[in-house]
Amino acid sequence: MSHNKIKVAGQALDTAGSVNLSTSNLSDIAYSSLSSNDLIEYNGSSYENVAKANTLLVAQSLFANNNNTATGSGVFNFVFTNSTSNDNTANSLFVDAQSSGYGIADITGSLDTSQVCPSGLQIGSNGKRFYCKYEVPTGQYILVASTRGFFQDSTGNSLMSWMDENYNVLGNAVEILPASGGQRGSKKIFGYVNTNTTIHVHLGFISTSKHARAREANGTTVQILRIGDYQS
Amino acid sequence: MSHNKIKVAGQSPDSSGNVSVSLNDISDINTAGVQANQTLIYNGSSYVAGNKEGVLGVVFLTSNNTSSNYPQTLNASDNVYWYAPTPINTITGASLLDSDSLGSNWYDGVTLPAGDYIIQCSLHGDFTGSTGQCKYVLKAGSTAIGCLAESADPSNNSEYPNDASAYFSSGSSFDLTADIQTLTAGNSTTTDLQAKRGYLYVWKVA
Repeated sequence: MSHNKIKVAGQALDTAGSVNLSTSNLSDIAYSSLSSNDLIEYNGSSYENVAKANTLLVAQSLFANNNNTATGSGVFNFVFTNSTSNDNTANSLFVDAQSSGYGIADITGSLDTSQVCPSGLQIGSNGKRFYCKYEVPTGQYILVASTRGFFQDSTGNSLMSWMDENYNVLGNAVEILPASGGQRGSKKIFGYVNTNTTIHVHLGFISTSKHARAREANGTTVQILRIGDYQS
Repeated sequence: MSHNKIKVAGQSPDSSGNVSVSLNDISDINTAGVQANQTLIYNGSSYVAGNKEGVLGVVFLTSNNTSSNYPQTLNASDNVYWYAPTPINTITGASLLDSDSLGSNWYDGVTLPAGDYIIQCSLHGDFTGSTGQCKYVLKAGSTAIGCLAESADPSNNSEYPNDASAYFSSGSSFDLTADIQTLTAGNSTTTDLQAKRGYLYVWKVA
């Protein structure tokens, strides 16, 4: 057999004795109308191109909510301040997910939380989990939260929103008031972030007054859903 | 030409005459940066590493707390408007609506392609007093979908939900809006409260 009759995957050698191969040359791959965002998928006998699913496939999610009321003393004296400086580890609204029972942080994928006890709060000895900020790797995320205020008196108020670590607002602002001050507007705090690096997001205060850092058993929930790759 | 000059996908035979070819040697595959559980995705010219998961498309109309007064007095014959200087729209084929041609980054809905959607929105209206109420509902074309919602004056003790939400599946393109159903004590002097606090969030889930 002479060299010039050798073929690899149906491709003849060039004059230098080399042959390049592309996926379409392989015996067990068959393309049909190949388009961007197609995947190669095994169909039982060979590989074929199929469109990447354009439907919801949430691969990563984070859920945490308060599930117990603070019992420590003194927590009522500590209040939040406006989120305008490097304070998002201690000044963002935190979730206190206890060490057991429903509501403990549930995480899938590579999302993460930062566990920080704001200054002045008593953690106690039961390993309570204070989550103040949330780490999100590259990708697109839907951010969802709800909360209620725990104010020192009826004149307190807060305007809250999802924020990144540079205090950029990531969605609608929500006014949180004492029960006696009216409950105007949506109490759902939504956000969206599209990042090509790992960042931290948190629930920050555009403005706030007399909003105590005390923990409440109900009313605070955080959900983060990864909805896709980073979109440039 | 001698045997030891033969190359397959850029790879030379070893001393036994075998040629080992890996994925990255194939001319239209580039596995740079591949991570566990990723697959190969065609990018129009070659296969590159990427995640298997699809992407949930969203439309998010929100101001990120920037200011603009509501562009018209609330009226039962109008739709709810949202302010979005930098609207997010990752749904292929979706386009934003401004039915009353108000411009200035105010939108009153979105034309969506066929699909399944989770939708939610809010209104933060301006009222002249404690009787102030504005009820609204999401609509697909002229069909009301989801729950009725209400914006109310802070001194109004109405117990309607603030947010309207719906799930809607359509086999064809449709216009999504939030239609104002009833209005009491709307204020012709408008503020930036809706710009800062109102939102429309659409998730395309199928």
